[in-house]
Amino acid sequence: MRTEHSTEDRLAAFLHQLGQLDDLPRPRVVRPELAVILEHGVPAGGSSLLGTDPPKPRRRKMLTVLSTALTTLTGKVVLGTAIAAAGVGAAHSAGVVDVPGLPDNAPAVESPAVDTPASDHAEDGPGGGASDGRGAADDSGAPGDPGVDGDEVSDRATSGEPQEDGKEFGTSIAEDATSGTPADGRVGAGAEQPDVPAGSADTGNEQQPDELPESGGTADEHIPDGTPATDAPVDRP
Amino acid sequence: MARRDKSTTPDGEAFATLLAATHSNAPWAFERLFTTYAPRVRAYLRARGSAEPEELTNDVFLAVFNSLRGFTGDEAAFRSWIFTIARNRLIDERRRLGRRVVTVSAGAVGPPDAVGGDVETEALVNITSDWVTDQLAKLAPDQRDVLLLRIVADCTIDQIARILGKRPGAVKALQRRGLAALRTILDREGVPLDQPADV
Repeated sequence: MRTEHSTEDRLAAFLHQLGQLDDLPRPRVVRPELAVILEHGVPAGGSSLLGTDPPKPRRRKMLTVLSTALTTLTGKVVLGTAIAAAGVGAAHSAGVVDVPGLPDNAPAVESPAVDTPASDHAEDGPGGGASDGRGAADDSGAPGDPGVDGDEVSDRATSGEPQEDGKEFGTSIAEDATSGTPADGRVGAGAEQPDVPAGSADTGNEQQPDELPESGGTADEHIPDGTPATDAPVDRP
Repeated sequence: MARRDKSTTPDGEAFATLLAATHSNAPWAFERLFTTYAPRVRAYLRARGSAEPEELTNDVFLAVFNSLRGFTGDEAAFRSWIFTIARNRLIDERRRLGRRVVTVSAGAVGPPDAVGGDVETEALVNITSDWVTDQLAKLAPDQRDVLLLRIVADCTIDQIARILGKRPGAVKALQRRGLAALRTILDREGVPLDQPADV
């Protein structure tokens, strides 16, 4: 049942059918409040919350209050005064005008907010008791000890001992990597980091279990009481 | 489509009389207004893809009847007001449903519960409206809005501009582009328009 139509005929027929969409029967009444209205009229005070407008969001309420305030003369005066005060303050801080009541920029350095004890210690250098974590660590050292980030670290880095250890370690890694011995952990580390400097190899050496006895009693200090040390001789009855 | 007198409803009833009756809280006036305008509102909501056109139509008329005491104007203004509320409620429904646009055709919601109607005629009407809604769904939302408000709601260009919050020139352009798109769709689809009537 296909009939050929011109474009305009199709469009006209379509619009005619579109206009017939409202020929369907009356919609069902599914809201009880609407059924009450259709039977008895609108009750006093409205039928329900469904019929009223939904509550506005808080932001929209705030914008409404602001826009309402700006429509009044008082709101305009307040807004104009605020803008003028901000402009004068900006001009004063920029040095364009001088307002006697406002503080200048120069005395602001000597203001009490800047002159706090923490700031003084911070300016004293690493030997002082600054309030940050580094300052506290500095205080724990001996008097005159510049701390871990002082000159001693640099001296230690340039001194011979750790560098030689590192050289030995680095050499052994290089030898293991080239000799093709079975991997024992250090080979892999040496192969992955072939450009590790001699001084930095000392850091890796500290993590090896074999090096723990060389660090003195620090390892034994962490053993809980009652636990026999592995290196200590066992007294047998 | 012949323009009606602004003082009468689509059913030819004097609008001022109906409005005065609603102000005196006469139930028959509310019933008459609902019977006259609710099918158009439901058709608009369904063609715009409402998930629950029947419920939304109920909500629209609840809002209209609760605020009708403060309404003043002629029938055209009343129609424009109704469809403004319908469009706002449709937007609220989409926000509530997580911005999912659901196009529900007449066949999907089942036949309306008409009492004492001809079943065959209702089925044919449903098929026709289903097909028309499907074709409208291929248009852009603004174009579909303008065509529906122009034809189903019988609003003027100025009224549509107020409902949509656009300039009348923009509404005219949307109508022109919508009709052009419909021509293209109908040419491409090749669907015989008289098929539903010939079934």
